[in-house]
Amino acid sequence: MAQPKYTIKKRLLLLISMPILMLSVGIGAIALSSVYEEIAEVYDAQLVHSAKVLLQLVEKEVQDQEYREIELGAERPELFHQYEKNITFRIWKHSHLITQSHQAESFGKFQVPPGFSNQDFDSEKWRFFVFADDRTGITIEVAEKEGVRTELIYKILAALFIPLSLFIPLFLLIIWFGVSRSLRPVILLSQSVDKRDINDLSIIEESDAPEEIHPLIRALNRLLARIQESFDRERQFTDNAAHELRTPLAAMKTQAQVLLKKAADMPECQEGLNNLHSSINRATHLVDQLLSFARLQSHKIEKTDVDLSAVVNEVLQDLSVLALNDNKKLEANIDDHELVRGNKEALSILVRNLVDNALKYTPAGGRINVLVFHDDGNAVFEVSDTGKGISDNEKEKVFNRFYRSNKSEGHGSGLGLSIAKWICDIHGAQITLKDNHPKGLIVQVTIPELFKK
Amino acid sequence: MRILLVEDDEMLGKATAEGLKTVFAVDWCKSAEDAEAALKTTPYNVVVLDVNLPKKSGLELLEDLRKVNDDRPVLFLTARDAISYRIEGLNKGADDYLVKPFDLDELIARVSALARRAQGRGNPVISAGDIIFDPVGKTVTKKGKVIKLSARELAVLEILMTHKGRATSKAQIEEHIYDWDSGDIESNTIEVHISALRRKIDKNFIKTIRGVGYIIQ
Repeated sequence: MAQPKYTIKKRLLLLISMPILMLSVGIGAIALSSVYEEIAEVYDAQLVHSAKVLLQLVEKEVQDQEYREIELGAERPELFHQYEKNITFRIWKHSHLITQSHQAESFGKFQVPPGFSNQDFDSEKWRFFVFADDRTGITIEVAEKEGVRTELIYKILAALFIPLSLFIPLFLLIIWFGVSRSLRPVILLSQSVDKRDINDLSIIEESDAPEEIHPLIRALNRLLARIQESFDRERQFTDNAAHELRTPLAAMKTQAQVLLKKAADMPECQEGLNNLHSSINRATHLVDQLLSFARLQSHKIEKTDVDLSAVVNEVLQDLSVLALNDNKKLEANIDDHELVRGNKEALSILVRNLVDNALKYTPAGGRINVLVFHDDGNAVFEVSDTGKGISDNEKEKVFNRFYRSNKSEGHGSGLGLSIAKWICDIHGAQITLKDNHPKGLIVQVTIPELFKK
Repeated sequence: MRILLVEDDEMLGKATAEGLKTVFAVDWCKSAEDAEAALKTTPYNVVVLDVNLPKKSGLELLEDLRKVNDDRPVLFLTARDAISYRIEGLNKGADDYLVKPFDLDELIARVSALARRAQGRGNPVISAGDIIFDPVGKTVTKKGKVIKLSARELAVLEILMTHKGRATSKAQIEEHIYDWDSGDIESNTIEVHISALRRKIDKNFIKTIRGVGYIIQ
């Protein structure tokens, strides 16, 4: 079978999960950019506010004492926050630095231009707001490390994506289960069709399958009905053919037999009439085989629990007389009650064909052994003979219809073994040909046993 | 003994009529309608009836016969060997059937048996070579000389003779003896009876097919 290009399961999974992934990434990106803007606004506003407060606090003092540096005094250790190192300020009067917070020492004498700006000091990014009051000549610088903002953004981002990264696999798992569950009826349906016997043409039940598959099931059922119809026609044909072929054969046979009776005292006619009679019998045998093959193939094969041992016994009882007539030694060793699942009539044809073959191809004085035994969960039916056997390169070909071994010497129809093979196939049985020693053939049929011993 | 043969096939009808004529008086007609007319006027002992006839079928003719309580023995000939066809024929009141192509001697034997049964002389003797077994009188003769057998030996011989030409399993023989005489059967009893029969009748009379059973040819 060719690899399918896609499976519904994969396709559904892809179609459902990709948009969800893209959506969550998109939402994340949009949220991120608006969060960044908002944070920038809020922090900038804080800078402006701090500048304003500082200006109001120092305005008076700076004006009174021109260019006097204001001492901030010792930092009070109890008034400290770890975040404080990230913010700082400087106050200038014209170009004199009046005061600055401890963190601003690294800025040196560099005066930052008014308004908002980003500056680098000691490989650290700072955001500045500078307000220059022209009236008093005071310049207020407030600054904040960029890192404060990015850290906040990272934290928000983490708060957003950590739950999302846990949720998405869970979500995909739920989709996977959902898709698998929805497709289960389809898989069950195909399994049940797969498991069907080759002769089982009964309709497929719609009830268990989802509604979307009903049209497919109905189409399948229509196909099954058409196959059933053609099977029925074939069976009708077979029945008619049986009648049309058997009637003239019966006429020939009866006529030959009448002639044989009449020619009882004419030995010169006897041989020819006997040949005619056996030719008619062979033609009859061929017709019978063809018809039984056709009938087996066009009928629904009903299977029941069959006692293979009983089937073999019955056939051997029928055929024993043939062995006696031709002075062949028939022996059997049949274990009791080897039960298999199968069609009794078909199995009987199988056994009859194989024993009949062995009898046919074994010369007068030869031996035919029939065994039934169980072996590793299988019922085994084995026929061995002391005929000419079948060469290795012919062993496969003999199962073909109308193949006749060059050793068959005009016996047989060339159908017996192909019928046997076919019957084995419908029973899940193996048929193998082996060499018998010193000569002859062993045919072995291995059928799964019903109750494993 | 008068036989009516109903067969529409020209060749088969002619040959069968000729074959039957070696033993019986035979009238041959080719349709159910002709057969009905013949049956009204002639007291046939046995009717040999082809199932598949033009217009009215053999099965319909058989049904009509049974409806008017005509219980003359009917043997039907069928070219369809499917079991369902045979059962249908027997259910409709046929006494026996043969599948075409049949053996002429077998047809003659079966027609004779049907005729005898109809005349109240059922259970004819069964012969194998020069041995004759009478199942009614329970006697066995060899070349006309009566052979004395025990009841159980007779029971064994009876089942083998009635299945002449087919092997009978040991289990089947045991079952038959049990029906005959419900005394206990020991496991080697059958072998004992068989060897007694061989000694008394002929050592090759009963053949053993090992693993299958015993057979009289």
